[in-house]
Amino acid sequence: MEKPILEAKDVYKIYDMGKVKVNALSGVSLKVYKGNFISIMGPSGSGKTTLLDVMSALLRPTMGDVLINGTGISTMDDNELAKVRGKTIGFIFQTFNLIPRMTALENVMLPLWFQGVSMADRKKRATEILEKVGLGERVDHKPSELSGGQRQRVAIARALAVDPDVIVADEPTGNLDSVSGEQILQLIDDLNKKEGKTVLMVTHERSIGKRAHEILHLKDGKIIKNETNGRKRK
Amino acid sequence: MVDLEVFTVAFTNLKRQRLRSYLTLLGMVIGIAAIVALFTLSTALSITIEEQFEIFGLDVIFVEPGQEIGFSTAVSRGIEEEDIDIIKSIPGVEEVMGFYETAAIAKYRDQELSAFIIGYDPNKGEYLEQTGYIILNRGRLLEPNDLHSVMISESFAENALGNRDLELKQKLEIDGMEFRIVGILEDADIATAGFINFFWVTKKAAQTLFDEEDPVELIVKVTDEHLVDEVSEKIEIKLEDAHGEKDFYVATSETLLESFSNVLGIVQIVLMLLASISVVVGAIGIMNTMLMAVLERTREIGAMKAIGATNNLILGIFIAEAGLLGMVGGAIGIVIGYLTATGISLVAGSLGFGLPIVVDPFVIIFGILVSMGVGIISGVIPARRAAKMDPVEALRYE
Repeated sequence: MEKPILEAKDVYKIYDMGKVKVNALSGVSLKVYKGNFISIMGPSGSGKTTLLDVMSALLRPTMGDVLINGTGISTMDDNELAKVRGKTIGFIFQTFNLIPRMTALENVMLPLWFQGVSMADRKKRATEILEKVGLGERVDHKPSELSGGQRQRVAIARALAVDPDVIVADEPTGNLDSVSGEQILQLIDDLNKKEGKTVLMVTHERSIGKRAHEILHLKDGKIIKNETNGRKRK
Repeated sequence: MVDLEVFTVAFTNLKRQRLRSYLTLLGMVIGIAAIVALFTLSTALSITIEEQFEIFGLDVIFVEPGQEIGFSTAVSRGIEEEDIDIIKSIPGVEEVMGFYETAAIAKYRDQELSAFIIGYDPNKGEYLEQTGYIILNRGRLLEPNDLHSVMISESFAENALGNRDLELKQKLEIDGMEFRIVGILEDADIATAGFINFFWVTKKAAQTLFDEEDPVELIVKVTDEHLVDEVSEKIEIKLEDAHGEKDFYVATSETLLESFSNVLGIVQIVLMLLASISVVVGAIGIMNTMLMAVLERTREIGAMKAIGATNNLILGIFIAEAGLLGMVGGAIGIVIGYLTATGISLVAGSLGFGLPIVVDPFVIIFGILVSMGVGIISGVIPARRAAKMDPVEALRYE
């Protein structure tokens, strides 16, 4: 039987806010296999972003564990976690989070540097990917010189630079107009369909969520519904 | 392991915020510039002083009144005419020259000036010429039989009376007595320490006309410079014996130079400490800028961590940035410091006081290392704050 790329095992994330304790996640279990496209939906405060953070090794669970390719993250230190995260997961943020002082090319080269890729290979790879996302002409532009859609494409290029297995997207179209948003979603779709990338996406818009194979509905830190959206889950 | 590429990234960060970087550097630049300028100038000063002593030669001993160098007063009168013969009898002594000094009022036509009279024995004039005490510009040196004759310095001849120049053969009144100018001397820094109102007269004139029976100071020339210490000791013993107390001190070129260097060293340290205050201010400036940068880039730091930057790498980037800030500040400071020192040296040179500026590679390397070190130390706290940030909180930071 195929092993999941990401697996949450009865994960709790509890925030101690002094007098009260908030359960952001209370006992979530989830298996994500290669090639899956999963949307996470739910009202604000339902724990959908926390689930994404835990699944992408940004956050250690309070109880339970998340396995990345079979290895638990709860016992890794910060530096190990960073290495695993950098290699396995590509991040796309709602607010892009590009480095404003760096050009598009330099931004895309950054994760390759973290993985110890040589300068020449970094430049080559980053240029290729920027061309692939349609920004071959804009490699030397800084984020402030690019439109919102272009910035998100730089961010996607950055996420793809190290050729990760999983793409994690938190409201990727939240800061974009509908035309640019549609282009970005198409790009994510293609990554899943054509390149077999596993996609985990948080959104609050049903129309966007429906693009996934599977929609997880969260409420009060629990998965309350698991729609398969007419596509077969492996 | 340190990834040296953090410097490239840090440099890019600084370059693309040029104005802020330069403003941050100001304190460091001023501090390092002040230190370099002060160090260079005081080194130049000690070189100049050393050169002056070299002109004296190492084979001379100074006998002065008082207990200690620099504390002689007109009141403490420790040297007597007889001392010349006592010292002369010591083996190894070639010659003893006495200086009979007093203050007087000089008058030229209706203009009065305070003057400093130095009497010497014209028979020993050649020694004074050898040691550079007196260098004749024009006219002649004093002769043993001269009484109402005087030698003056060239700058006094030119400057003392405004637009009226003094010349050879002109007559001056000193303490009501008439003197004729027979010689004009080159300005010798050593003998006059920058003052120009010096009137050289014969020993006979000093003793008979100004009632200066005893010399104020003695210069002893030894036959061989290796005998200097030995002869100095003997002079001390013999004079103390003769006087019954130690109301004089004996110094060689070397000991005089030493005490000059000591004083200069203390002045140097005090000035350096003052200049260091500016470096401390510069360090605080760098720390402040780095703390602001860390706060401002919180989300960037979160994003960098998310895409795989380790805590150590983030720490490295910010420390490298602070270190580079310090280093660039230091480098600019060194250049400005040398330019300042050169400017001051040029001004001093035009006033007749040579201050040779030497560009010392040790100063440059040390200055850059210190400023970089100060920058790195200033960067530690901000960099640790950046490295320890929780990526999730950093990414959500508003």
